[in-house]
Order: sequence, then structure tokens, then C-alpha cells
Amino acid sequence: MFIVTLEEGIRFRGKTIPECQALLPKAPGGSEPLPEGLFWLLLTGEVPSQEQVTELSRDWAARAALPEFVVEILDRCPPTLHPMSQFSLAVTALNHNSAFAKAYQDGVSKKDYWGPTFEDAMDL
Amino acid sequence: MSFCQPRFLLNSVCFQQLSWVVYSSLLQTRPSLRCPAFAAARLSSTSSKPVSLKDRLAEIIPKEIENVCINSHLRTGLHNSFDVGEGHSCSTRQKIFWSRSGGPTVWVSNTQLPAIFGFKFNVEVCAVFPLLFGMAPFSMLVRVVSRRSTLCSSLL
Repeated sequence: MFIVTLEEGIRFRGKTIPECQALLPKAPGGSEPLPEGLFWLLLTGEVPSQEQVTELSRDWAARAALPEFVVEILDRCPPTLHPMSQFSLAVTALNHNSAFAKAYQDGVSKKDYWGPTFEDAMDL
Repeated sequence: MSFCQPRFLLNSVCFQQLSWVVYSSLLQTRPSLRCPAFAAARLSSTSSKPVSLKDRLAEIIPKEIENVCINSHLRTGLHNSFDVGEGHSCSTRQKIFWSRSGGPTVWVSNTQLPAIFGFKFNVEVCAVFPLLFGMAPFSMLVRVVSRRSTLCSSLL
């Protein structure tokens, strides 16, 4: 998925950063590719269309809200706790709503692991 | 059922991943395959892609898993046979074909994949072209398998 060479730097799915900048969809009026496009490229190996990126943006926005208990956990942290520690706490706590954890508990087939894993990745 | 019968080609994961070059060569060598359903299926597989990322992955990942399973069966299958889906089977040597570049240029046997897949192999590289050109239907399958193994090869 990632290849790093001395001359070209990192490649994402075979594409250099300049190639990604040229190929991936951008926000209206923007000059840099949207992260949604790079996410799509990394997962599928394909350059997404503008429509696909827009749909993915919509999906991410719909999942943006934090569960209330996670907000409470963060609020209860001492203000001096390092932000990365708070971030780590919050991510770990999201296991409570993990689609994969639930599917695994229900005995999902190995070949279907990717589905709930994808849902968790999108939520995160 | 033969590898070259339309039903096998239309239903199998192999057909869904046939390149135009392979398809054209099939038409030249097997005129009986010139049926509207065959062409319609090929066009539909390339003309529309889903807007949803999950729907797109639902098209890609099962095929990649199938490739891993086929490769696993090639390596570990008993009596030199393996399933290719739809209840068909094919005899071959107990070796695995693999390629990072998309072509059938690499043998990989005994390769160890991550434990999540539960398969164990080791890497070994050698030429496979004599075998490929000597077994037409099977070489087609191998081309397909190796061409679409991006997920698996990225894990090696």
C-alpha cells in the first residue's frame, strides 16, 4: 500500500504525492486533494470520482458526533493530562460502540470481518 | 463442467476479473462464447461503480478473499485439486502464483501471511511461463488470480 523511494518519496497505491495531488478530487475552489479521496485510494487502489468523494464526506459528517460517555470521560480528565493521553483514552473508550466487537461476539464469519472493521474505521 | 463453458465464465469470480485481452483471446479461440449475456456482463462490470465506499469494497474484498482461498487451496489442497467456486475444481501442482506487478511472473509457495488470514506459506520465486502456456484454461485462471491479488500482495 505504501512504498518509499529515495528519489520520489512515498507512493500511495503506486502514486506519488504530485500524482495524488493531480488526480484526486479537490474541494470546490481548493487546490489540494481532499482526505476522503486519499482514504478511498488507500482502501480500493482506485482514484475516486467527485461524486464518490462527496458521498464519503457526507458519510463522515454523519458519523462526526461523539458518544456522550466519551465526552464525559474527556471532561473528567484533569486539565494537565497530556492531550495525546486524552485522545488515547477516548479512542479506547469507543470500543464500547465497536461494530466489530459486537459482530465478533455474535460469531461473525472471518470472511465478513472486513464489514464491521470498516464501520469502526469510518466511525473513528 | 468445462472451464470454457459460458455458465462457468459468467458465474465465477474469474470471469468478473477477466481483462479485455483475455476476453478477446477467448473469443478468438472459442467462438461459441459469443453470446449477448457474456458481453452484457462484461460491460456492466466496467460501466458502473457504486458511489458508496462500502459498496465498492463489498465488490472488491470478497474477490480478494476468494483469491487468498484459491491460492491457499493451490498450496494446501489434497490430491492436487482445488475449488474455483460454483462447485468446480481444477487439477494443478501444489504451488501458488503471485505477483506484485500484476503479471504471472512469480511463484510464491510456503509464504506466511499475517495470522488474521490463517494461512501459512514461504516465499519462493521462479518462472511459471512454461506451465502457463501449456495449460490454457488454467493459465487464464492464474492470470486472473495474480492480476487481482493487490490486497494479498500488499501483505506479503
